[in-house]
Amino acid sequence: MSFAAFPLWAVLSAMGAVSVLVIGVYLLRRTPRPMIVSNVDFWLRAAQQAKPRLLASFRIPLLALLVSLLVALAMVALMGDPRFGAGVRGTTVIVIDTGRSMGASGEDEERRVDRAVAEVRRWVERSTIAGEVAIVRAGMRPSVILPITEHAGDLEAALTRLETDDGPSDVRAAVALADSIVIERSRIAAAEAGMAINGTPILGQILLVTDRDVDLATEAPLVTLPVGNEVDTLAITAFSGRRVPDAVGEYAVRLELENFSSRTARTRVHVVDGEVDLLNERVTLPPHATQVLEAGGFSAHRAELVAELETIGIDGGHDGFAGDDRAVAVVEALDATRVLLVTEGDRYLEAALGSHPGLDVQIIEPSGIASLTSSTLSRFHAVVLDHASLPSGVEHRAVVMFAPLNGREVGVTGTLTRPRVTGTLASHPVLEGLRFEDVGFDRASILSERAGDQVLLRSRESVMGLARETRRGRLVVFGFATADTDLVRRETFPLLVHDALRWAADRGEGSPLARPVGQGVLVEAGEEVTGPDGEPLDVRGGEIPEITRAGLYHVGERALAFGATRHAGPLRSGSTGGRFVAESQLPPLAVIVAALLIAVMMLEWLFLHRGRLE
Amino acid sequence: MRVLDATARRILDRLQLSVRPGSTATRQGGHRSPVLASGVEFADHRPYVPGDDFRRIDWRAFSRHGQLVMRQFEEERDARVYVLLDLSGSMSRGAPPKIEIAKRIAAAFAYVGMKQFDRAVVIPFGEDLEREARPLRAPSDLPDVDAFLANATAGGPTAFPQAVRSLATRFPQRGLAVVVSDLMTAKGFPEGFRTLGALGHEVRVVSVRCKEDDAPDFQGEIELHDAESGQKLRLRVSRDLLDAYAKEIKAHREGCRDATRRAGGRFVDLDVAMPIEQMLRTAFRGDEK
Repeated sequence: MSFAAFPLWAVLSAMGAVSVLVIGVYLLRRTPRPMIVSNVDFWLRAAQQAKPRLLASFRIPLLALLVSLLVALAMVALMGDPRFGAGVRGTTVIVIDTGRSMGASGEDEERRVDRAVAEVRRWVERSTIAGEVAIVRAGMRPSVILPITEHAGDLEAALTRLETDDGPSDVRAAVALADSIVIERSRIAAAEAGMAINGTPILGQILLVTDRDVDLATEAPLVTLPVGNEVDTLAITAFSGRRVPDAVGEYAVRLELENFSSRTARTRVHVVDGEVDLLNERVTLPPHATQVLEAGGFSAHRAELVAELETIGIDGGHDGFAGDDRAVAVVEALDATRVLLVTEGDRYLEAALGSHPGLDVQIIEPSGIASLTSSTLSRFHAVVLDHASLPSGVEHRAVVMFAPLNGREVGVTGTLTRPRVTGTLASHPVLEGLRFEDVGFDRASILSERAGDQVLLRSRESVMGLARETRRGRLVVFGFATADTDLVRRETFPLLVHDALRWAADRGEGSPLARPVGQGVLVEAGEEVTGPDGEPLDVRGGEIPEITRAGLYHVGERALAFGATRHAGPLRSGSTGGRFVAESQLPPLAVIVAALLIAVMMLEWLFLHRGRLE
Repeated sequence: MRVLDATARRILDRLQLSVRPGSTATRQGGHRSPVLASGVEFADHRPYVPGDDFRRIDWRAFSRHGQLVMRQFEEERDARVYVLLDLSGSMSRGAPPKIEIAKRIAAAFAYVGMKQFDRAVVIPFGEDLEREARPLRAPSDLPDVDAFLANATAGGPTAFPQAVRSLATRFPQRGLAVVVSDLMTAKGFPEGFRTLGALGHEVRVVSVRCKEDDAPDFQGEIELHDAESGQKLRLRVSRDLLDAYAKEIKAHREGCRDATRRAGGRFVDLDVAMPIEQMLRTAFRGDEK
């Protein structure tokens, strides 16, 4: 037997103190009060003539003491939270699977993770003698949520706040972590006992509580406690939203629904953007069927899309998992790319930039560039320089240059006359789909190449165009002026300009899919992060390393959708019936207390009253 | 007087001590006696015999009947008042202590007796049997008795039979024997009362009671200390035992009362909590309850 609430010495000390208190009170009660009377003869006569008492009443004071003592000791013992059991030696590391599927509930409406917690409590109650327990949470990323402890309060606190992740668990890594804990603990124990490190016996074991069939090899003994039954579920397996390229302001929503059940399922699919209903439709899915639903919305603002399955009904069963009944996605706001064009009236550049409806172009002459600063440039997504360069100390993260001047950013080592393009980096996004074989150039500057530069256009050994990506931004440089090439008269030129801008500004369309749970979030200084329920989240070191819960997160002005739809799937479980059962070798506390009481009474009779009845 | 204050004396000045004629003494006094002799109260006639004092011949009867008859008168004699005061240890109990009440009662009987020109004797009985009895012959002796009573303390065992024996030996004349005691001794009192009656004394028992004796209210583990003998008795006092004790005390008092009656005396119960006036009136009236 051990005590979970307090150390053994504390319980024994408390028992000693209580015993002293009870016996002290008994002695005080039994210490007679002196009382002067006129004549004791009358009292003696009265005592002789008072009605005879029961035989048992003669022992009442002593019996009362014994009962009081036992009750007090039992109360102290109960306060110590006694644990009985066959027990196991050493440290027990409990690995609790907290993956997505552990949130599923069976016919009894009990979630698998709740069942796991109950089983762990029961197991610790029955089977630990030393009570040294640690808990490893096997979520998307395993972590130790309870270091080795003997305190039941810590264990209870750790189990109470246990919740599942929205992604799959990494049970293998968690068990490996638990194995290393047991081994290391055994080594420490061996070192303390003065034993040799090599050949140290493993003093401990791993208890894995999971809903999956796992086959793992560990050094420490591993007991697998399966929880959960196979359950039906209807799930959103994909959900995305993206802007329609052809229609400014419109976006399209796609939702994929799958029935992971052998029975027909019915549900109402509800998709909203904020408070605007985009889709509200009843769906019936045959067993193991998939259905794709599409919807559309119209808004230049950011769309925060939420899809939910409502009133799910499965013939002869129930939807066992609510985690896959909800999905989120974000469609970013429609925002034009702001471009600053620095040129002395180059009509080809002006025409190429002005032809795109998604560009907001502002034009200044090179003489005006001296008044620019980094902060004034920061409101532009990209800067296009024609025969110009940025002043000293002024930087921008996206620059496209034509006919650059020799300077800090780009070195010009010479001039080519009537060069021919002998090589292109066709795989680069700037030159995607463009051909330069028959393009004629009157002259072009020779650009100096730096380490890491990507040469876009090359004439023999000379560099005519390059793309550079640094930590501070991107730069695209073409060594020719629009007046020195016939490229500008071809329809390729606007595409070249647009592709160069798109790559430099890095404003490509984001993924229409939600980010998968498990990824982190980078946070700029001063940005606040709120979770799916609007709760503020702690940001450490400028990032949240891992998002384990699906939903919409707001980071400053941005909205990020984290989804778990990619993990949707059938909810299977490990084989049941192999539950760990720790047979208790001791009877319950009440029986022990009763036996103790009888034993004390027998001893009392043996020592104090034996022979009186004869 | 220290024992009797002015209030008590004013009350006592209005009280009379009546003694049964058979218990009067030999000196002329204020109490009727069974002796027919010279007196003021006419009692009877008897035939003349030679040698009678012819001054008491009833000449009117002789003129009517022609026979010489003598007029007889009741002789009024004094009385001896023997106050047997219990000074045993148990008399120290009570609030106020029973000894204080008992001393007042004893002083009151002595005071009234002396006021009526009787002879009074205060005979203490307690630890010291050799204590000197205090006979009073004149009212001028009262301060001595008062001083004696004022300094008297309770202690030791009750020795009532010895006190009765001492009374019989030292004061053979009959009188009013007033026993002032708490009667808190199981044996001796009824026998003593009967002996006093047999000696011709008029017995008056003034029982001084207190609540601590009659109805104690303590319970639990108690070590009883006898106030007189110092004897110890350890008991677990319960309600049942208290009831049994109360019955025992009541039976004892009834036995004393019965013995007093059989001795032709009167039995008076006084509670220490009673007002002094009521206490004195009751003691002198001798009402039986």
